[in-house]
Amino acid sequence: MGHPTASALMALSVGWLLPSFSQAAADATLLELELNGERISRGSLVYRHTGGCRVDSKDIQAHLRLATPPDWTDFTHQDRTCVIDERLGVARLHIDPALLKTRQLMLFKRADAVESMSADNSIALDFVANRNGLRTGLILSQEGTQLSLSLNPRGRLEYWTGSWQHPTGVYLEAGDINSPLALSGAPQRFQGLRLASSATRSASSGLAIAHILLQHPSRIRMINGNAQEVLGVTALPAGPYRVIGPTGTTAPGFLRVQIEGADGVVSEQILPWSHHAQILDEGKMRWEVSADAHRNLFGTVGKGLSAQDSLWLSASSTERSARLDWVTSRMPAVIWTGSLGLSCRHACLPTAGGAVQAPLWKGSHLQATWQSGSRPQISVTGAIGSGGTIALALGPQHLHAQAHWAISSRIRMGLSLTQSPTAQSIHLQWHFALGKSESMSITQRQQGAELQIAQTPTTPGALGWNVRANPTQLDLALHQQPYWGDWHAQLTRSNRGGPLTFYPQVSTRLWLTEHTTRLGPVGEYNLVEINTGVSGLELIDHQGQTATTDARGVAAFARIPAHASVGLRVNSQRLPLDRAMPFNQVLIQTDRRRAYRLIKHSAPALTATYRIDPRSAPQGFALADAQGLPLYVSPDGYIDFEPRHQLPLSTRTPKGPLACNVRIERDAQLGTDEHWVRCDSR
Amino acid sequence: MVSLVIWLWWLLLLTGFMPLAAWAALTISPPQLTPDEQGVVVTQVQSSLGQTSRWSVRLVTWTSESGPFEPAPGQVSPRFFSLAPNEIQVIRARPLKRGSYHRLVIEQIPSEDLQQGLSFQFRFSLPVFRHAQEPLKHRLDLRPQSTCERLQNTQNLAIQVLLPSDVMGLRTLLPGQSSEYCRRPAALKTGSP
Repeated sequence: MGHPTASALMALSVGWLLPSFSQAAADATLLELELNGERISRGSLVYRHTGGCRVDSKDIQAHLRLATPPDWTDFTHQDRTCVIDERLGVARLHIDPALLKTRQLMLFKRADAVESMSADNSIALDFVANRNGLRTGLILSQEGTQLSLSLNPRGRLEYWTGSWQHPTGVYLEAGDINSPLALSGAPQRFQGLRLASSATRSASSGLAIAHILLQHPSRIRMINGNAQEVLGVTALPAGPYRVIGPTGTTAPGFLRVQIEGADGVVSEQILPWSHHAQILDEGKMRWEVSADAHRNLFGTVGKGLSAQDSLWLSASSTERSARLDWVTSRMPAVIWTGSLGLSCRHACLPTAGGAVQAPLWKGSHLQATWQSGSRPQISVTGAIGSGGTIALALGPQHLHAQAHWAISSRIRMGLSLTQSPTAQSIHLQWHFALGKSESMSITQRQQGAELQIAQTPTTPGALGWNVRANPTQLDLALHQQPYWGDWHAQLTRSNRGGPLTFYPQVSTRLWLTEHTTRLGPVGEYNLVEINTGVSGLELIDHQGQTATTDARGVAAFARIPAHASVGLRVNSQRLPLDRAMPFNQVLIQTDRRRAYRLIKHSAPALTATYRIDPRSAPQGFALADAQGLPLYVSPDGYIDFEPRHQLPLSTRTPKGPLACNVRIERDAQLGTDEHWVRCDSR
Repeated sequence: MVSLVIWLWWLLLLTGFMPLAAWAALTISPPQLTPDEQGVVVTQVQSSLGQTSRWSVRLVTWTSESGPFEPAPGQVSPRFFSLAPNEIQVIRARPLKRGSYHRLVIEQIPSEDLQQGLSFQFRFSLPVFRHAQEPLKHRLDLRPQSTCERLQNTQNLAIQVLLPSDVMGLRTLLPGQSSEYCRRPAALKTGSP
């Protein structure tokens, strides 16, 4: 793909640089290697052979899944071809892309640095006011300990939670607990005590994984099929890829991969996008024990036996049972669970069960579970064409079917049916995208039709509204998430002659730390303050929320999610054009409802532009700085004046040295200061 | 002193060759640019090279005439930057002439310590279109009996010509521009040594 003359020159020159090697292999040629369109070597020995060629195995082994012969690998078969382009000096090898080594593709860029931030000691006061009165809350955080409580409008204790985390990660909490189970990740809510090996599920076990195979070098765009969120755009050579994505709300679901080939043809693959909470990294152990207010005890322990297998042992006093689960994932995105146990609730009986999650055909996914003594549950989700999904769930007592189609880029249709022994319901929904943020939906249920028109804020802090009309009532709602909290107001009128009701609610949290006093939203959010030392900088987080640094150079993010890896960086797109800075991102791992402070002095550099004055330019002569260091001059006359360079500049011509002066002039057209460099004879 | 430096310029016209180039040196996203309301184009590059590299960025005028691209007036930020392996840099530019087509040329600056030996330089030339709907796609299929055909862009917008793999010619045609499209001569197949 390079310039023909240059490529030939390169091949020739490499041969010249390695004379002994070339002579030793007299009947071989030194050529560039291309494997399935990707250049893998700039100079390799290639033997011409009947119907193809033989290539030095060491140059190709790293790219293949197969073991190669020790010396030479044949590309002489129908499924392994070699075409030598003599003109460009390239051996073009082709092999079934499925035989290439799988490469890993991480969605979301890795951060430059993972900041180990310690949380500040903090007091947070919550205020939620609505028609029922004022609800208040208090969160006290000191090092690894946190105590939170909430009072209802009558001043009575609504709930309380206390937690403590040891530096090793062991986590103890008591009170009104709402935490994910270590075994399944499903949230559990109870009053009692819980001791666990860590506060959250490990990040590695929660990664979402998909596999794609590119037949040709392509530009690919990956979209989370559930949220229509673009996860990444990149260009890749042919071959198999293991795509690893973030956890949380984006998984599981579908990953839509739009593949644009070099010929501009776009195709789409729909892949199951799965993550398995039960698969632990090899050697990793997780455990938890809990006791509720009714003295029910539960305990579980899991260990990663290998990269594919994990074993979990759990026991419950409520069920008077113990169970052993073996979880395995031998094939991509396919996970099997087998369980054996003993339940002594009424009489001691052995139990058995199994579960499978697997991709079926194009984008469809199966989940089935079976337990002894109960009917199996099966759910299938799949994709219809490029814009539709279908889901079917069959349980012991119910059937639920749901389908969505994209009629066009702006119109979607949904149909859902639920049937149980006592009831049956069906509803049909049309969804219209009216603008960038406005949408309308019409839902037809047995009770009648419902119309909803909504504007969803596209920027943080913008006003959103929603109008809903159905046979029983008419609602008008407004909502906003300003930096200091949240508010919403709803006006409801009953069609059956009831009074007009108005329901406003406003909430805010007051953060108090040794270093700051700030307002923020109520919830599980964390507060993160970054001190950049520069005022007026816009910082942006991984979800696109922005904050601008104040006069002290501090920016505050008050909606940082709990138990998350959050990337924060300066939004370089919003810098003035005469300023630039590298794309440095910091990654922070958050707990919940904590105040973090990070000092990260990162001033954008003023990009002074030095240009050769064309009236005095010593064309073709090298520029040097005061220390004699050479400076690069671009074809359009700009000088690469790096921080290590020092003025004055000079140039040497056959007539003698020339000193260069720098003159600053305002460019009226561009509105910038230009440093003109003019070189005159001494 | 005889220099042993071999300057190898990889001029990668974006359409068609971009995937290979991106893997080789820089991942560029997006690779086709259109100015926003303020007339600013933004792209982001990430280095795939094994060592720190230095790059220059410039704006040139993209016309249908043959010959070298002429420098175009406008702001570029940054004009020069260094990239460590895997490091990312955001590049912005504002061409002064909104009505013209431009290219944003990102090229590697030769390293001073590579005065001898083998040196490679990469150059990427990103198209800067005038409108968000550009380039329009146009599929070209040569008639079986013809080896060459001429195509002229009679539209007011730039078009991207989608070519079969065995046909050579310009991949992008600016308004009024024409190009000859010919079948590629078959590469030589190897015989026995």
